[in-house]
Amino acid sequence: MTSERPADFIDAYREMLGNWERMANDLGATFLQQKETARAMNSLNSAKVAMQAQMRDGMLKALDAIQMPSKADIENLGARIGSVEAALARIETLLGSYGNPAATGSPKPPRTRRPGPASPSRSAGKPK
Amino acid sequence: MSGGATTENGPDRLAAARREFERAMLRNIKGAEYFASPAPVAGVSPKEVLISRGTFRLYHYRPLADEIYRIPVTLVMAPTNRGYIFDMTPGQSFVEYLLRAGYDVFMVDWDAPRPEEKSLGMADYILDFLPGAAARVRAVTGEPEVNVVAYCAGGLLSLLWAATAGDAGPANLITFTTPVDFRHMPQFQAWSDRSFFDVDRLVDTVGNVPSDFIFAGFEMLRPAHRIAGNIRLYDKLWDDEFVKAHRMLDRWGTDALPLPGEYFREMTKKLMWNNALMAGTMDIAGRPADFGAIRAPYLHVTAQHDHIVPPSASAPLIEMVGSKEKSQVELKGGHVSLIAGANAVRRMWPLADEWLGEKSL
Repeated sequence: MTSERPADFIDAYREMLGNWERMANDLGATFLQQKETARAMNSLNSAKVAMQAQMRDGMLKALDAIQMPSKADIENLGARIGSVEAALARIETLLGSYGNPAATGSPKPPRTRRPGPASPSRSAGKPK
Repeated sequence: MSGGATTENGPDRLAAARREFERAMLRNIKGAEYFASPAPVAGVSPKEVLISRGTFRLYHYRPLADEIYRIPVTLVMAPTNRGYIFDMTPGQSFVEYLLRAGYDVFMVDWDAPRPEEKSLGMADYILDFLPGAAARVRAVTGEPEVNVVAYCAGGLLSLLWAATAGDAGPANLITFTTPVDFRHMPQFQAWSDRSFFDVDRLVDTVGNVPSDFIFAGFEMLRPAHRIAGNIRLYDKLWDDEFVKAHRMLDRWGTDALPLPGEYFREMTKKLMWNNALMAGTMDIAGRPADFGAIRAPYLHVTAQHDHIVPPSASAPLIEMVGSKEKSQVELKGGHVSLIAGANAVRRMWPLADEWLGEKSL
C-alpha cells in the first residue's frame, strides 16, 4: 500500500535539492579541477597579488617621504616583542614546573579515575 | 482497495498539510528572529589561558568530574581553523563530553598569526609550539605523560612531533581525518599545480596567506554546498535545534584563519608538490621525520564522506606508523560532522572515550 501512495511534494522537493546539490558539487568540482580552470584562477590571483605588491611599493615610498614607519618596521618591532613574549613563556613554564601547580587556582580532583563498564554508546564504533 | 487507500491517505495528507502550514508560519516568525538575533556563542566551557604567544594558545579546561584520569589529554586544532569546533555549545561540546567523562582537558588552539609571524614554518609548530604545550601541561598537572587528540592538519603536526620527539612525545595519540597521501586530494593538487602556481611569489607578496584565500579553497571543494545549505536552512527555520547547529557550524566554517606564509610555502612544496611523507623524504628543520619512529599507541579515525581529506588520502597512515598498538576506524560522516554535531555525539565521542579511557590510568 505504501508504495502506491503518491510521493509527498515537500519530501520530493527535499530529495530533489539533495540530488541537485550532489550533482552541482560533482560538476563544479570537476570543472574547477580542470587544468585550464585552475590556470585561469591562478592568473586572476596572480594579478591580484601583483596589484597588491604595486600598491605596497607605492605606500612604502609615500611613508618614507613623510618619515613614517613602514609595515616592515612595525613587523620587526612586533617580532622583537614576540621574542620577549616567548622568553617570558619559557620562564613561566620553568617556574611552573618548580612551583605548586595548585597556584593556578583550578580545582584539583584526584587523578584516580578508572574507566566504567562499556556502555552501548561507548561501543558505537570498535577499531578494526 | 484503491478507494480504501484514498480514505486511509486522506487524514494523513490533511495532517501533513497542517504540519507544513504550521511550519510555514513558524518559518516566517523565526526567519525574522534569525536575522535579528546575534550569532551563537561558542567555546564557552570554563577555561584558563595558559599560553598566549602570537598565534599560539594553550587552554586548560576546568574539570567537571570529582575524580579524573591520571594522564591529561590535549586537543590539537589545525592551524587553518579555530578550536571551538571542539567546544560548540553545552550538550554539543566534545570538550564538555571529555570533562564529564573524567578527563583533564587542555587544548592547543590558534589565533590569526601576526604580520611578523609570516616566517613561522612547520618546524615552529612541531619543535616549539607542541613540545612547549606538552611541557606546560606536564608542569601544571605534575604528570610526565600527555595524551593527544588531534584534528586534520593538527593531526599531521602531532604525528610529526611524535615522530621527532622520541619519549618526549605523546603517550597515546588519536588523529581524526589526517591527510598523508596528498596525491589523493585532487582539487588541491590541481589548484597548486607547480607548473603555474607560484607559491614563492604569493608568500613573498602577502606575508601571511589571507583567511579568504583559505576559506575560498575549502568552499570550492563543494561549490553548491552554501546555496543548498541556505535553502535547507530556510526549509527548516521552524526547527530551533537545526537552526542552532547550522549557525554554529556555518560560523565555524567561515571563521578560517590566515596561515603563516612560510608554513603555507612548506606545506605546498613538501606535501602538495613532493608528497614527501609518502616518498619518505619528509624532514623538519633538516631532521628526518619518519612515522615509523612513532611508538605511542595510535588510533586513526577517518570519515566515510570526507570531502576535504578523502579516506584514500589518509588510509596509508596506519601502515606507516611504527606503533605496535595501532588501529583505524572509518566512521560515517563528513570532515566536520565526524567531530561535531549529532553524529559525533553518537559515534566518535564514545569511541574516543573508550579507546582513551583505559590508556589514561
